[in-house]
Amino acid sequence: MKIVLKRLERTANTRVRMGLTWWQRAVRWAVTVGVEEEGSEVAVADVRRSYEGQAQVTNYAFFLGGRLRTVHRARRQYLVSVAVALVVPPVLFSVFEVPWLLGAADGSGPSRYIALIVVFYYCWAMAAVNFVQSSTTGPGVLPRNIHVPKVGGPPGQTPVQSPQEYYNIVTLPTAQRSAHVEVKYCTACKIWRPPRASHCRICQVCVQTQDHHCAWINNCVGQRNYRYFLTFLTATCATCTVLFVSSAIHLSHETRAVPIVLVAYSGIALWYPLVLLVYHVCMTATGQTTREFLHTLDGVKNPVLHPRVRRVPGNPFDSGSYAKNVGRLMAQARGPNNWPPREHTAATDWRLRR
Amino acid sequence: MLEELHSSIVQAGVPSLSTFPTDSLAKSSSQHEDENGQDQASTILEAVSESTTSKVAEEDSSEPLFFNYHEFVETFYGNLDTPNGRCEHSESQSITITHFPNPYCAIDSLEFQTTRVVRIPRRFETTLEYPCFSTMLPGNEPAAIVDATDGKEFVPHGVYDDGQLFGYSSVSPLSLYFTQEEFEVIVTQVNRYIAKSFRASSPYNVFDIAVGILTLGLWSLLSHWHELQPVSLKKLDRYILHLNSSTKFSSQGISIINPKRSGFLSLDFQVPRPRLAKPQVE
Repeated sequence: MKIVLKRLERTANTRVRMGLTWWQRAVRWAVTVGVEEEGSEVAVADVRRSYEGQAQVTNYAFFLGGRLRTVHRARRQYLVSVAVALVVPPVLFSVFEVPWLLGAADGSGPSRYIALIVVFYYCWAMAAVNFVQSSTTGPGVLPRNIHVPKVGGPPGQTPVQSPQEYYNIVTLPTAQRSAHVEVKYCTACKIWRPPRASHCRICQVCVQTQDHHCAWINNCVGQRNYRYFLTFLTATCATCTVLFVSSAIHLSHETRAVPIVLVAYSGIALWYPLVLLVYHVCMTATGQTTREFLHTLDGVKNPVLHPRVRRVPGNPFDSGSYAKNVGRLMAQARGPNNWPPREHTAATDWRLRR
Repeated sequence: MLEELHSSIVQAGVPSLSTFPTDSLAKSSSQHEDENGQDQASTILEAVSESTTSKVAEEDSSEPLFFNYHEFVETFYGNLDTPNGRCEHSESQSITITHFPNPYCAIDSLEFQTTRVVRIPRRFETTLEYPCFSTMLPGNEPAAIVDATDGKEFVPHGVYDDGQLFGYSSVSPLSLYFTQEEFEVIVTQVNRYIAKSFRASSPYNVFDIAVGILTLGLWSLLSHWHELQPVSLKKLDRYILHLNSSTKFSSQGISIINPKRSGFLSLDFQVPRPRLAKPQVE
């Protein structure tokens, strides 16, 4: 008995030294989450691709070999409710509305009802795809530990405290004489953040051109997923409108429960994304991100509660033209992924150090 | 005094131009009293006024000036003859940390022991739309810390951060390998490639948006998984490879780190660890 136990112990030890077994790797490929304290050294030591280490130093959980991501330790009921709200209407529409619209088109009704069906499915698909994309792609995460100020002490030791200068807000000139930019050092990520980049406390990363952390998609909205987020809002508004129109047409012919529900549902569901979209148009027109806009209002957490978006004097991002400002933010280049999760790397990578 | 000066620039963003050269002057003259003051005065004024002070001085003096925000000042360091004994120095003898540990290699590797990184910061006067790096060799910036006797040369004066050598001024070891003109040519070219690939109106971006909408997001999945990128970014890769393999770079052991690796946060030059030219023995 003793011998067997010793044997088991020895194999377990060699396994730790040799790394993970194939099935442990397979599980980790499917779902990669950060390990708290115990065993985390083993997990980090056996890194082949960047996401395996990124899951340890950020709050991201990765799926399918780092191809998809979500924020790990966060309340997920918002994300689930949006997903449900997205899935229910097309089911009801397909089961109850499509047969009636087709029947009406076949008989006396106009054939443009078929166009209504096509437009609905297109808009809905846009909304669904962009919802998934905005919530599962990286918002533009900046790599960690690029600007470690000094090593301090023997190698391997955690870097000592940052110098005094690194706690200051640095004001630097821009092309406009009256407008300046502020640059800050992130003591968590150990990088000098470019203007507009911000550290998200929930995701535990610095995000390029961060707009805001969105609880509904359970992800930050930043430079690399802003356009998906905007397309999602637009497509949701369009889907609701088409659904409202088609159900209202049905309702004008016969009184049934499902079209009543759908009219009410789409009428209500339209408002929140529509208001948000209008806000984003106004904010981008004045050259502001949501985060910057909320900074101008003290203590307001949700822009929807504040009815007015104004130009900010001395905003270096305001080009003077509303259209240009909108284009610059809404159509901004996504840029390359600055910290690709699927990149081959080793545990010695500085970006994977805490 | 210098540290104060530096932080006053930093915190308020309003270095008073009248005090800036005077402070540097005071520093240099207090340091090297034995040499003739007149000469230094002219050197330092030249150094400061060279490109920007004269331009800015005519205008509002409350404008912030550009400087390399990576560098910091230290007064608690080891002397060259006693590298291990750290001691407090007067503020006029503070050293400026202009080169940093190399985060692009393993911390226990030989490369880490023998190389350092000089970080070229981003500048925002040209544009805020995409990354743009400073074309000024560290030490030449408008609000750089200057030292009259050392001028534009990297001269070690103190030992700090695990035995590394640092000078009094903002001049970095990069000045051992490049002149301002050579440096400017390189960074301008890097900036040009970045501008082409990051502009909202760039052909790649327009194509990216249009095809993304037409293919219902399938295109974005493809480009996301296969890391497709604009042609000009590939050209940037090639340009940096070309530079790093050139004799000027490889023979001197210097290389540019691809800004993709640093998230375009800074343009990092890997240089050999600075060493004393001649041993400090009498």
